[in-house]
Amino acid sequence: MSRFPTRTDISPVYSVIVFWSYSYSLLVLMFNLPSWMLMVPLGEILGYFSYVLVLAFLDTLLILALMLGVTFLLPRAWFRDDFVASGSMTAGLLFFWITIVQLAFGFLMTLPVVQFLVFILAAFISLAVAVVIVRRMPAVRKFVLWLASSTSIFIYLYGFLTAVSVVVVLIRNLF
Amino acid sequence: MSNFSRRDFLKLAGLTVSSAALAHPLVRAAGKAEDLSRPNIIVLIFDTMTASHLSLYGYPRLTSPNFSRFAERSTVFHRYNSAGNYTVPGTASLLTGMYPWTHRALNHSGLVRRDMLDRNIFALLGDDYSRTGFSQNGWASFLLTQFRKDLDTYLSPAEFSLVSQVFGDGLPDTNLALRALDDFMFKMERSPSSLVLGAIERTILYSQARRVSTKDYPRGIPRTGTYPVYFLLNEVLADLVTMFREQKSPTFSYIHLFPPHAPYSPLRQFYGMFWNDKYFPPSKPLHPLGDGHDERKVYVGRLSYDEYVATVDYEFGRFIDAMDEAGVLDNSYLIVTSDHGELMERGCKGHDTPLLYNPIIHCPLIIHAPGQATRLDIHAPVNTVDLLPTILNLAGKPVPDWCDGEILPGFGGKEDPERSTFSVEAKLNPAFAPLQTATIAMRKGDYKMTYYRGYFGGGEEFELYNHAEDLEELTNLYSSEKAIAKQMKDELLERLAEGDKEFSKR
Repeated sequence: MSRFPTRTDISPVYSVIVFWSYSYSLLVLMFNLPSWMLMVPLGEILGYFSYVLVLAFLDTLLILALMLGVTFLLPRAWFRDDFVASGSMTAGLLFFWITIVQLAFGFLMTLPVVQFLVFILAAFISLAVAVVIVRRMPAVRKFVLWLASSTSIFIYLYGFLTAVSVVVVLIRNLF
Repeated sequence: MSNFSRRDFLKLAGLTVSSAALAHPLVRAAGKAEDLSRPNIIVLIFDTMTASHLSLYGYPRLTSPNFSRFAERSTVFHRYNSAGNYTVPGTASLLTGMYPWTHRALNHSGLVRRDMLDRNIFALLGDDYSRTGFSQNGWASFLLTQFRKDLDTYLSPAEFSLVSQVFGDGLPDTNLALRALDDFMFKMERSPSSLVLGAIERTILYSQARRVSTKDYPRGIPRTGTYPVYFLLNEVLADLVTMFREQKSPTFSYIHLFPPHAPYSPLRQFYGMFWNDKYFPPSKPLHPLGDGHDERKVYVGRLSYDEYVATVDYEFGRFIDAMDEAGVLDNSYLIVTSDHGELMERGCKGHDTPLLYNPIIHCPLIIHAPGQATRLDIHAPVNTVDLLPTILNLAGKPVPDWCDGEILPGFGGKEDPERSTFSVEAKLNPAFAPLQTATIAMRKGDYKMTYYRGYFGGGEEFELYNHAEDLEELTNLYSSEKAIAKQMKDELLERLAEGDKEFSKR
């Protein structure tokens, strides 16, 4: 049997990834929008949007590939068999840690090696604990599944916008 | 093989790239015939270099002995003001010969208005000059990419660097790609908007930068402020000499180097050189529109800046020696200047400010003509906008009537001590609207008027200084010298209204 989850299982997990990645990128973009509106014509602002969405899409593919890689490597019972709940929880938490890394990048890079490794270890432990919690606590599991289901709309919304953005970026670079 | 140095590698790489580039339309210069009858023109910008901190211009600290040495066989302009107080308006005015209220590159990472893109020095010089544009400053690079079709060679901000990660210039959509990717998605000085790729990019850059030895640089290897580009100034300048030597005449090169812009990264031999020199600049009051830094912090900032200026001067001296040795100056005009200055007073430490006091707009301008052996000093007020008509005149081209500037004295123009010149700051004002939030400085004779509009709760303020008696701008004469104040105010407002005319109609 395949060591990878089914497409039906991957979809809700991917929607959590999409929700987090696109939300962060668009939020940062919104902070820049007022200054762009001072000086950039509308067409170029849409150009910014296109690049942002294309990169956010690549971000989601990278995280999904990472999670599928982990699923492939770990025993089926650890991750693969309960991929929707465990994967959604892990994806959310992973993005939380990546956001922390981004916001505190300068500080983290100045940490002594031991402390930095402790930080990395803490992140991994939190991911493992989260998987255990989501399996053992029905309320948490139910919430995570609800979240994964609720965010699935973003796949369609951002999927359409990303498709348009890819076309815009290609056209701008090819012609 | 062990003797194969980095310099050898660069030369070999340069040859390889040059060969490959012969077929590329962006390097059209390679196919041009050499014409030695016309001199080359090199514009060398040191970003954020104020004349007020150069010993050449009377600063008490010995920050610029090599600029002084170069000045002994050049034309030195003593009252050269930048048209803006930071890179975008200053550089745009230099490249277009228009004041910021006309070209509208006003805001952070702003651009020249799209319907005026043919008004640039590269287009006006035309195909008979081989035109190269290089800027380590990302914002100036945006402007170069706006004019890319008029450039024969566009060099990336990452060119000549030790470690760099610039993505946008690898794409044909360079201008927007640089702004969207490098100035936004992967911007260094804040969290990048791409969560995963941004984290990967930062980690790779950080690990690469850590491998670079910093033993000669106590504050770290020089780097650009916002782009992930680390470099050694001596190597950049040495590579430029090689480039100039190998170019076919006639060429026009716009070279915009980042130092001495912050982060200040002096060489070890200049680190701490002014700590005990007992020089204290005149105490000046905090300005309500300043950054509010206390005097001690500003003084420490000044020390660091001066150390970096001294470093730039040292490398500039070696650069001039190498240019002489290579024979480049025999047939080249070398224009050395800056896009704007730096302000280390009144609570300010840098140039991201609405203030237009002398150090932030008073820039060096030193021009060496081919074969020039003696010094010429020009004291008439001149401005950034004058460089375009001067360069065109040197190249034997006509000056367009839309140009705001005049040909510089000593290079075909006349000295006019009473001429009015302007500096414009409007980074918070919409680019395509009348200037309602702006500071404008007007220079006329010995006087300088500064007009603040829209900053003080929407009100306006005027300051007037007499530079012949008060170069430190400590005594505001606006209320006491009413006649000159009125005359300058009327002229300033008239010129501002003229600049705004098109946008006021909308």
